[in-house]
Amino acid sequence: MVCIRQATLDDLLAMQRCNLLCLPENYQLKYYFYHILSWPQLLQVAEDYGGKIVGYVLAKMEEDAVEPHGHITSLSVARTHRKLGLASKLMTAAHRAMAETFGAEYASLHVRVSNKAAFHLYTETLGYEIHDREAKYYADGEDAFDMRKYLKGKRSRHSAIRSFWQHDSD
Amino acid sequence: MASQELPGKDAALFRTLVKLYESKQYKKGIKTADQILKKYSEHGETLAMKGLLLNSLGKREEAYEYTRNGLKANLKSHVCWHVYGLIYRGDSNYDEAIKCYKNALRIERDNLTILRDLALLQVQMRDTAGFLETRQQILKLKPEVLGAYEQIQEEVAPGEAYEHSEMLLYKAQLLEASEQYEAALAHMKSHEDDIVDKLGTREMRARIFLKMQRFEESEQLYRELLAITPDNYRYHEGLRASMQVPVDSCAPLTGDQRSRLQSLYAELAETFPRSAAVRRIPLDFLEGQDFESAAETHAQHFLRREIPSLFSDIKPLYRDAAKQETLQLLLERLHSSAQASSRAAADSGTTTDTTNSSESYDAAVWTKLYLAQHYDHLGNTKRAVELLNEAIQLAPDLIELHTAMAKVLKHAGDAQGAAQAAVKAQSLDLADRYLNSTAAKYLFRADRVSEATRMAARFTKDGEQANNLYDMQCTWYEIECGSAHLRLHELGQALKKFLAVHKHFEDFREDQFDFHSYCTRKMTLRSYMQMLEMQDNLYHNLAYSKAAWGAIDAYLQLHASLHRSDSKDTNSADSSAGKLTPGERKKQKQRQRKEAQKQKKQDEEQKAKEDSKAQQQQAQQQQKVPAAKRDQDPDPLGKELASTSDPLGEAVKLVCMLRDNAGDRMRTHEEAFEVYLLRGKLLLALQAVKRALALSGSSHHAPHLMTVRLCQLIQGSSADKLQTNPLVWQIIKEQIDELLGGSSLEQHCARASTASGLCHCAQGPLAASICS
Ligand SMILES: CC(C)(COP(=O)(O)OP(=O)(O)OC[C@H]1O[C@@H](n2cnc3c(N)ncnc32)[C@H](O)[C@@H]1OP(=O)(O)O)[C@@H](O)C(=O)NCCC(=O)NCCS
Repeated sequence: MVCIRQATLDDLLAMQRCNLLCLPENYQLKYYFYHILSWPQLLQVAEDYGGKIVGYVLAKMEEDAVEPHGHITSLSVARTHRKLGLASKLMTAAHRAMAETFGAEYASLHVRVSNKAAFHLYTETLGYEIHDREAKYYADGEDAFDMRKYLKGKRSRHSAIRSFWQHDSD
Repeated sequence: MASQELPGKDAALFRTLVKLYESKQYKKGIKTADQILKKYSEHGETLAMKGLLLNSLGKREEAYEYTRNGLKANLKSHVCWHVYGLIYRGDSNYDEAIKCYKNALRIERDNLTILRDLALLQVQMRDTAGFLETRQQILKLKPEVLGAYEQIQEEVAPGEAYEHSEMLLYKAQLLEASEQYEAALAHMKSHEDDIVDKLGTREMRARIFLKMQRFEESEQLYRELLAITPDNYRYHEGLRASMQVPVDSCAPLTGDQRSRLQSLYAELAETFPRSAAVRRIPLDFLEGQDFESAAETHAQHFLRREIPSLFSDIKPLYRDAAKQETLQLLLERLHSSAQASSRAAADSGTTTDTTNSSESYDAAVWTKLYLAQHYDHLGNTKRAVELLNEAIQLAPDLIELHTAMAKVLKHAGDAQGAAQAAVKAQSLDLADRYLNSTAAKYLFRADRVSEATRMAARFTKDGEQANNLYDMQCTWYEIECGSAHLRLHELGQALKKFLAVHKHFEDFREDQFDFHSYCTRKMTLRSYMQMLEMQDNLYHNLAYSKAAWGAIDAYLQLHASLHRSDSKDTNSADSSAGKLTPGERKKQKQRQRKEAQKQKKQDEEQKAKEDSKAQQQQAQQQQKVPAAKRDQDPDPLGKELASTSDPLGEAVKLVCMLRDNAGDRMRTHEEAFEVYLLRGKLLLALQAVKRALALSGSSHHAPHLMTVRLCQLIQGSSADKLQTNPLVWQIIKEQIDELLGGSSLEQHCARASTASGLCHCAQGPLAASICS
């Protein structure tokens, strides 16, 4: 039994811990403070029965961009709790807050080109599209896909066509 | 003291000096200061400014010297006092900084800059009264601020919609907190269009209606909230409370309540077929046949999708003995039917549909996994290992089987076997850091420190694990690593790691500083208030406690080895620093101080660059740019730490932190007791016993052992000791009699051991296992 809810300040250390367990891209606590004290609605956690944080999404707004949009800084779920749908639910909650509270047009993120699980989640489950490919984005030299998803049902034509094809082949 | 007025031309030079400081041209500034000082070597404000410039260049000691001299030359200058305050503030010595600012304001009452600086420090130190006073003074000086704010309220700039909305919700929250519910609701209603956090507003309204017992309205709102996030358990609780059904899943229900819940969740299951919460919650309140069939559907859902967490999902149900039994039967049944069909598939040979047979094979594997976790929970290690071995035969590459095996072996106390299984799991997916972290942790638990460190280093930038994990404040790693070193009696390295955690927490505390003014600009006051509270409880965090306990244990061991070496005239445990002559040690200290200063200077230059914007960019690029090469840590093995001449004194500092912040944990009082006993502070040791008793009652073994040891010590001490401080001994004797309830020590122990099977061999936290 895992609860999906907006994060509070008391969750930050546990989020940092979950991030350090799951991902190689890490941040000092001050950066988490910065997120939650700027866009509190964009941090979501998955909390298990015993109060342990087993997943989180850390997101922010790019307010100075030409087109104001949300950006997923980090997402991860403890391996013990994967395949439960937690990541998709966390992301959905963050997307919703981006659009409703901050008027974001779209959400963006980076993902390792080799990360199959995350890529499936973003493209198939959540409807992200590849916007660009950034060479050697990660410290170890791996490339990143720069991905975007339009919010508020504003889907681009391209993606409508793609999902049409998917339904056909299902 | 001569007049401190500078003549016209030099006064202009002084103004230039201030400008240079403000535009961060520190070196030029120093030159200008020297120019003035050549003529007026006793000019206080110039001396102070030079101090400030030196401080910005990281020359802290010289900075203090110049500033103090400046102040001596001109005690009546607000500039000198302000500068002195700034330097203390940069040193995180906030109490002294506040004093200096106050002195400056005594001279220059209405200086806005100083008032603002003071206000910031007062929040940081949680001097609320002082803070309000200072802010009031600022408002008096700048009444236009208030007017401007009201204007903002009237018409919101397009870019400030969020800020304005947060401000409005903050006000609603204040009204709620003061139980002015109607007013809070009215406030939100009248600003509906301006509030952009619609979800947050709904949550607040639902909560307020519930508090007002307006259940119809709260039920409606909780239903709306569930439609948005059906897996938020708080909404389920709100809905239950609105239906006036007990919220606690363990609370007994009436038949009527149960059937109302049953029909509610039947309805929700139709509406939210994808919600895990809606599937899971009924298992809490259903009973008998209903429970059994719901549990089966639930388990099948996990099994079909091969979701690893079935067991942790249903574990809370084991509190109910009947449900535990049902679940065991269910898992066994699923297991045997999966096994039967996989055997059937195998028997019918190659002609059968291959997908079908692989499916049943998988079902056999996954039911073995679930069942193994079940038996592990019941303490039946043998059965759990058997099942996992069978499963591994069928699916040797299924990672979850190996991580489960690691856990079972850990529970059984086989640290080596557990580490081996965790390393096996890790080897099956090298790209997964979670498996890597787990393997490192299990290797530490098995005291295989160098393998563990190498393992953890694989996911750090350029493999510099110690630096990177430290920079990223990876406390779990430091605690596990420190604990392993402690078990191996490598005390310097243990201290190094435990005290790193201590340092992180100091940094976390420091982190809030920039946000005091940031949040009042951003208007995220609701989160800001949460931050203040979180910061006030920061040191209660379990990671801090674990690290502090570990460090205290290391100090206790150091103390013991110092005593041993005192009597035998040999050197302390792993510390080669013990082998240095006093002269060498002094030199080493100097070198380390210099290096520390250099490091500090770099840190500060770094910090100067960091406003929140820069920080954002820095984090973005973090993945791209390798960390700037840093100075070598002057004491990577903690030898300096382990060569302290007063380990108990160091331990006392941590004991005080724990007592003030983690008094609700037994181990805190055990450590305090140990340290104070060795220090001969019997009253404080007694206090630790009393706190332990207050926490657990006399049934817990820890306060009992402490009582016994204190008694033995008192009874065993000689008469002359009694003479030196008769009053203390008198008090302790009385208190001990009270603890023993008037009986003798032997009677007391006999009573305690028959009552609870306590053994009274005295044993401190030193002997107890370090990892809880
Ligand atoms: C990527 C990650 C966040 C997914 O978390 P999760 O909670 O297991 O994901 P969900 O359960 O919500 O699954 C969402 C979808 O992805 C699919 N998926 C999940 N793991 C998968 C895997 N290993 N391989 C293929 N698909 C996978 C699910 O089947 C589901 O698809 P569906 O909607 O078509 O049924 C998790 O694996 C993780 O934390 N990995 C390590 C950290 C990481 O890579 N973060 C992303 C960095 S950009």
